[in-house]
Amino acid sequence: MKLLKLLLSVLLLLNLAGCGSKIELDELTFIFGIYIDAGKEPGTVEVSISSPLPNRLLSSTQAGGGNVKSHFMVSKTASNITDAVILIQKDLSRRLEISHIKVIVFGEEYARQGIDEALEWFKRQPEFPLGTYVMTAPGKAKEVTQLSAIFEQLPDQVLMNFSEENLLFATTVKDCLLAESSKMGYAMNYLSIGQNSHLSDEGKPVHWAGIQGAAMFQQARLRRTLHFRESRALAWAAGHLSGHLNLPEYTITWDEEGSGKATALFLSNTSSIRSVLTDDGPVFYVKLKGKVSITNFQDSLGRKAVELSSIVIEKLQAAVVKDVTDALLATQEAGADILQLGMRVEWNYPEEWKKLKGRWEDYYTHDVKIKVTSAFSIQDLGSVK
Amino acid sequence: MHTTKWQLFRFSLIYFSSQTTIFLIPILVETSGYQGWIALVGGGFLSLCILFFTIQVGRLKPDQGWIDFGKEIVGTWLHRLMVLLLLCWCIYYASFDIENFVLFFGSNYTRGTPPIFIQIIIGLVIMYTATLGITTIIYMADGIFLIFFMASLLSVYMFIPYADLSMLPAFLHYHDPGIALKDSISVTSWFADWLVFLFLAPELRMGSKMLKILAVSSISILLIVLTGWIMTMLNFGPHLGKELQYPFLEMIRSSSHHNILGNLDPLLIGIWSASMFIHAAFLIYIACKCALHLSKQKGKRLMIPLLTICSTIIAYLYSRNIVMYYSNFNSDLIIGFWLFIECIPVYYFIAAFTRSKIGRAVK
Repeated sequence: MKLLKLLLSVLLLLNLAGCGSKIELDELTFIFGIYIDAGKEPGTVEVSISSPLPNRLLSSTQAGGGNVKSHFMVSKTASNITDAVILIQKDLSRRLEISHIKVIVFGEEYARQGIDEALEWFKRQPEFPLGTYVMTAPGKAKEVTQLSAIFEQLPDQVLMNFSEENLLFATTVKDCLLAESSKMGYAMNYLSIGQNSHLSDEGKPVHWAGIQGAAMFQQARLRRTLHFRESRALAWAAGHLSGHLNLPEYTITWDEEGSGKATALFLSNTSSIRSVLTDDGPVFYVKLKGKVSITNFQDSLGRKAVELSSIVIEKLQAAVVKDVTDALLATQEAGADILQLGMRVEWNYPEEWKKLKGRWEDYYTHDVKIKVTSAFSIQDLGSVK
Repeated sequence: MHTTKWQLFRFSLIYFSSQTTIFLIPILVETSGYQGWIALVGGGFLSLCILFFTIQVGRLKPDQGWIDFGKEIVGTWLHRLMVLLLLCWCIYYASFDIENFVLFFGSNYTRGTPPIFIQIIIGLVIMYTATLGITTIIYMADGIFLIFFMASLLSVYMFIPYADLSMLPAFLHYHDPGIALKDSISVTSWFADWLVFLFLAPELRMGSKMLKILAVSSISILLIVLTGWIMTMLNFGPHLGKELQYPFLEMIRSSSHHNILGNLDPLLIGIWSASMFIHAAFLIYIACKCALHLSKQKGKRLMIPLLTICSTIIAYLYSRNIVMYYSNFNSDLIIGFWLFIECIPVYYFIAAFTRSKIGRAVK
C-alpha cells in the first residue's frame, strides 16, 4: 500500500510539469525584436522580426569573424499584425516564441497612423512580457537593425540597452498601456540612424544608431518629436514615468564680470509634481531637484569654482527651468499630456475631474497652467577646488 | 493530536489567502476602483462578526464536531438539509478551485495542454491529499507557511520600485457609499467561510483562545489582501488594472529583463499552488464528512474519490463553456449562495439562543 502511494505521488509529480504541450528549445525561433512599419499600400502593416542564430553567435565574436551575421530578419506585409505574423511563421522551420523579446520599434509613419492595434496585441498575449522597451524610429523601423552591433552581439541588444541605460526615456509597453487606459500621453525614445564612415573596417560605411530625441504620443498616435535637449528636460520632469533619468550633464556660461563656463553632472535628479485647485482650475507645480558635481570649470578672471558656486547654481537652475518649460510648451502644442497631469486631477480632485475628463486634451493644449521651479545644490567640485 | 493554537493561525492564513490573493484583487479593482480598501475593511469586519457566531456555536459542545451535535439544536431534518447544502457548496467551491487553477495555469504556462488533462491531475492530487486527514493537512499548511510568507515579502519587494506613490491621495478622495456597501458584502463572501473550522473538532477543541487566534488571522489576511490590492493599484491603476486578468503575474514578469527576478514567477506560482491544493483538499475532506453523515457512515472508502470526481466533472463542464464560467463566477447569485452557506452558524446560534431562552437548552 505504501509503495502504491509512493508510486502515485511520483507519477503525479512527473505529470504536473505539464508536458502535454512542450516544445523543445531547438524547435523554437526566439523573437528578440519586433519592428512594425506602415506597409506600402495604405491600410497594411509590415512586421519584421529579428531573431538570433545561436549557431552563429559564437563565430561572430571570435577574431576576424565580424562578417558573420548572427541574427536573422524576416519581414512580411499584411492587413493587420496577426496576419503578418502568421505569414512569417509559415515560412519558418521553427515555431515563433515571443516570451524573450527585448525591444519593439515602431516606424515613424506607422506611429503617426496609430499604434493601438499593436498595443492591444501585446496586451492580450499571456507570454508577452509587458516590461519590453518600445521606441520609435525615423523612417522605416526595420532599417534600424542594419546598425552594427559593436559592443553587443545583436542589434536588438543595443536598442534594448539604450532604454535600459536610461539616458533618456525607458518607456515600456506597460507604460504605454497604462497611459492609454487612463487617456493620458506618453513619450518614448526617438532613434536616429546614420552612417559613420570613421568606424568602417574595410572601407564600407558602418551604420550607427543613437537617440535623437523623444517621440510624443497621445491616443496611440505620434504627435510630435522633440530634440535631444528638450527631450532630456522632459524626461527629467517626468520623473519615474521616464524610468529614472541617469546622470544628465548641463553646460552653462556666464559673462557678467568676466566670462566663463562650467559643466555640471547631476548625480541625483528628481522631480515632484504638486497640484493645487484654484478658482480658475488646477495649477501644477513641477519642482526639480538635483545634486551636482562640477566636472568642468573655466573662468576668464581666474576665479575658483568655490567662489562662483552660487552663480553656477543660479545659472544651472535657470537653464534647466527654461529647458523644461520649453519642453512642456512643446507638449502642449502637440496636445500630449506626457507628465500625465490629468491623473493628478483625477486622484486629488474627483469633482473637478468629472468636469474636465471629457475635454482634457483640449484643456491641456490651451488652458493648463504649469509652473516649473528648481532647487539644486553642489555635492562636490571634483578633484580641484 | 497535539496541534497548537498558532498552528491553527497558520492553517487559516494559508486556507484563506489561496483564493483571495490571486482572484479577489482583480475583481475588486474592477468594481471598486480607488475605494477598494473600504470594501476590504468592511468585508473584513463583517467576516469577524460571522467568526464570532461560529465560535459560539462551536463552543456549545467543544468535544463533538458540529456535524454530530447540530441536530440537537435545529432538529434532525433541518440539520440534514443544512449538511446537504454544505456538501453541495464544498463540491462546487472545490470545482471553482480546480477551474481557476486550470485557467490560470493553462493560459499562462501550459497553453496547448487540454484542460481535462490538468483537471484530472489536480483531481488526483486533491483526492490523495484529502484522504490523508485533517491532521496531516494542518501540518502541511504549517510547513508551507514560512515559504508562503517569504514569497509574499518577495513579491511586495518586486512591486515597490514601480509603484506610483502619488496615487495614494486618490484612495481617500473616492468614497461612494453605494459601491462600498455592495462590494463589502461581496468581499465578505470571500473571507467569511469560517464554518469550515467547525469541522476541526474533535481533533482540535474549540476553546476561548480560538476566537482570539482566528480573529488575529482574519486581520492578518485582511492586511495581506490589502497590501496586494494597494500594490496592484499603484502599479497598474484602476483603468489598466480592470482590463488585466492576472496583474500579479504581469507585474513579476515585467519587472526585469536579465536577472532571475523577472523569471521568478513560476516559483511564486508553485508556492501559491500548494496553498490552493490545501484549500481544495480541506473542502473535499469536509464534503466527505458531510456525505458520510448523510449516508450514516456507509461507503467510507469510496466517498472521497466520488466527491473529487464530482468536482472535477463540474470543472470540466465549465471548461467547455468558459463564458458561462466567467459570468457565473462573478454573479450575484453565487455571492448570495456563498453568504447563505457562510451564515449557517448564525442560524444555529439563533436557534440555540432561542432554545435556551424557551427552556429547552442544548445539553
